Amino acid sequence: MSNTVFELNGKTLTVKPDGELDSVTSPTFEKELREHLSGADSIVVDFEKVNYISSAGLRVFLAVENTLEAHGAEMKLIHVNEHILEIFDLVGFMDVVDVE
Amino acid sequence: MKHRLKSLRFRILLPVIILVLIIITLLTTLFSRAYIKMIQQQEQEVNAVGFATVSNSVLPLINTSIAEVRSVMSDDRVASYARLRYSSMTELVHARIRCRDYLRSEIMSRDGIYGLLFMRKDGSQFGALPNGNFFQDRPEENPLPEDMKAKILNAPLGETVWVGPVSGAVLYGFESSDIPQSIMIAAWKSVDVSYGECYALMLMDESIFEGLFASLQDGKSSWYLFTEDQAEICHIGRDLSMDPGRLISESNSGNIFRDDDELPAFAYSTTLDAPAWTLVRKVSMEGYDKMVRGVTHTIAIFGGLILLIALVVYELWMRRFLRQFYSLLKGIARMGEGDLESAAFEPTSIDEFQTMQREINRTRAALNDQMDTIRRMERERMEMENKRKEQERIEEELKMAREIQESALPQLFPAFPDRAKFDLFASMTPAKEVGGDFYDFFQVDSDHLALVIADVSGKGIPAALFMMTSKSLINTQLMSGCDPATALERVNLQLCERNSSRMFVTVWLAVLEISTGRGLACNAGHVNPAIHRSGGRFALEVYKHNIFLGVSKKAKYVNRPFEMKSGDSLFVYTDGVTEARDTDKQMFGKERLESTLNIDPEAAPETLISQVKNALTDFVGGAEQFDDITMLAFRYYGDSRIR
Repeated sequence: MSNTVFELNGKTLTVKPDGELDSVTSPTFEKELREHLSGADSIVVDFEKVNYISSAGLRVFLAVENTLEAHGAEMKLIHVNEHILEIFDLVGFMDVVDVE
Repeated sequence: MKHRLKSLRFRILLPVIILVLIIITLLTTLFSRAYIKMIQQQEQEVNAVGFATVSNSVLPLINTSIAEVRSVMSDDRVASYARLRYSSMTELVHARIRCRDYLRSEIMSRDGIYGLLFMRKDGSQFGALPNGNFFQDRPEENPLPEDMKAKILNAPLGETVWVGPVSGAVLYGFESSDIPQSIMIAAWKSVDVSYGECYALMLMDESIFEGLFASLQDGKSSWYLFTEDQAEICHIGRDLSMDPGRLISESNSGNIFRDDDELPAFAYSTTLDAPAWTLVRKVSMEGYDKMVRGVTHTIAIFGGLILLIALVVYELWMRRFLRQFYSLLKGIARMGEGDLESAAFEPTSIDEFQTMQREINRTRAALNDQMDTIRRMERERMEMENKRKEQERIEEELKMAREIQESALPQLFPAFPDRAKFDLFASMTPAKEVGGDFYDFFQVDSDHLALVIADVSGKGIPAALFMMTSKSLINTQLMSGCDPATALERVNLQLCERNSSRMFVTVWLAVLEISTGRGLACNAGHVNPAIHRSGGRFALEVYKHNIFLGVSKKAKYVNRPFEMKSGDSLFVYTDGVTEARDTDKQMFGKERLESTLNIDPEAAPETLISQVKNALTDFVGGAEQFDDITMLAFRYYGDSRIR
C-alpha cells in the first residue's frame, strides 16, 4: 500500500488508502498508518479509492481503533462504497468502528 | 646466517676474488713493467748519451793510432829492410842491426806496439822482437793460422788489413810473460824488387786500445772491441761472459738481456768505418732484479690491500644485501603462514628488490582480496546453511504443529454411528504453511450437538496456537451450557484480554437440539453458510454477522435461531474454499461453490465434501494451495431414517 496518502491537518490525520486491503497489503498499510498516528486525535480514513477489503484489512481498523480508544482519539471511515459497506455490515464491523 | 659453500655469499665471493686477483695481477704486471721501463729508459738515456760521447771520442783515437802506425810502417826504411837481400853476410848483419835499431827507436818504443816483422809470399818471415832479437823463419815455421796468412797475402797493394787477434804463444811458438796473450796484426803489402811482393806486419798488443778507453771505466760498464769476425780485440772491465754475436745483436735494442752468468744488462754498439770493427758498451744492471722484486712486492702488498678492502666492502655490501633479502624472505614466509596484513617491508635501495617488494605487495593485496572473497563466500555459505537449517527446523516444527493441529480435530467418521437423526462429515486440507482453520463438533449433552468452523487470521505457529486456544475456549464455554452468542462474547473478551499478537478469528457456531432440529447459530465474521432445504437447492444464507473474535472488546454477538427439517443439509466452510485461486489468479468463488454443491444436493456429507474437493482440485490445476481448505457438512434426517 505504498500509494497511501497521509495528510496531517492540525490534529486531524486524513488517510487515503488506494486499491485493495487484503492479507498481502494490510500489514504494510497498518505499519504506515501507525507511523503517522502520533499527534493526531482524529483520524479520517477516506475509502474512496478502496475497492476491496478482506478480513485482514478489517482487522487493521479494529486494531487501530483499540489503540486510539486507549489514547482518547477517534477514527472515522468515509466515502465507503456500497460493496464494502455490505461487507462491513455483514461482519458487524459497524458495531465497533465509526463509518459515515 | 650460515656460511655454506653453496650460498649466494660464496657463489659471488669466488668470482669477486678471481676478478680482484686478475686485476691485481694485471696492475702488477702493467705497473711494474711500466715502472721498470721507465727506470730502464732513464738509465739507457743517460748511458746512450755517454756512449755516443765516448764512441765519438774513442773512434778517432783508434783511427789516429792506426794512421800513425801506418805512417811509421810506410817509412822507406822499413820497405828497404823488407827488401833486404841476403847477398852478403856482412851486409845482412848490418842491415839487421839497422833495422833493429830503427824499430826499437821509432816503433817499438810506442805504447802497445809489440813488434815488427815481414813476411814473404812463400810464408817465410823475419823481423824484430821487442827484446831486440832479430829472427828469420822458414816458410814451414810460420805460426800464423792459414786464414790470417791468406788475408794478409790477399791484401791489395797499399791497403792496411787487420788480422787477429792471435795468441802471442802461437805467434812466437812459446809462452813467456813478456809475450802478450793476444796480438793484433796490422799488415799491408809492399813490393820488393828482388823478391817481388813482400808484407809488413806490425804486432800490437791490446794495450794500444785499452789505453784509448781507459778513461771510460765507470765500474758499471764494460767495453769490448770486436773485429768484423766478432773476435774480441780487447776489453775494459769484465771479461765477456757471453757470445759476442749475441751481445752485438742484443745491443741497441733497448732490451734487458742476461749474460751467461745470468746477470741482467743492456748494451750499445757502434761499428767503425775501416776496419769494420765493433765497439760495444755493456752496462750491467746489478740492482735490476732487486728493484724488480721490490716493485713487485710493493704492488703485491698494494694489491693485497685492495683485495682486503674489496672483501670488506663486499662483506658489508653482502650483509646489507642479505639483510634486505631476508627481510623479503620473512615477508614471503609471513605470507606463507597466512599473515596477509603485515606491515610494509624494510625499505630497500636495490632496484630488483624494490620490484620484488612491489610484486609481493601486489600479490599480497590480490591474495587478501581473494581471501576476503573466500571468507565472504564462506560466511554467506554458512549463513545460507544456517538459514537452510533454520528453514528445515521451522518446516519440521510447522509440520509437527500441523500434525498436532490436525490431531486436535475430530477425525473419526462416522462421528456418531449410533445417531440416526443426522450425519456429518468434516475435513481440513492444510496449506503448505500451517494455518489456523479448524472445525469442531461435539455433543454438549445427549440432545445437543455443537458445530464449529473457524478461521484464524494469519499463518504459522502463532495462528496454530491461537486456533488451539480459540477451539478450547469455545469448547469450554459451550460445555458450560452457554448459548452460542454468550459463548462467543466471552471467548472474544478472553481472546482480546490476552491477544498481544493482534490476531483474530472468524467463527461460525451452532448448537442444535438433535431431537427437534431447532438450534441457535452465531456468526462472528465468518463466511456465510450454505443451506439446503429438502427438495431444494443449496444457497448461501446471507445475513448480518457479528464482528470476529479477538479484536474489539465492545463487540456484541447475537443468536440466530434456525430449524433443520428432515432432509435439510448445511455446508459451512472457510474462505480457503471460495478464495482458492487457479493459475490465472481467478478465485473459485461462491457461484462455483453453489453449483458444485448443487450437483447432488441430497448427497451424504462425505460425498458433498469430496465433490467440492474434487471441483477445487480441478479448478486450481497446478497452482499452489495458499490457505487451509476446511469444510463441514451436516445433514439432518430427523425421524426419516431408520438405522
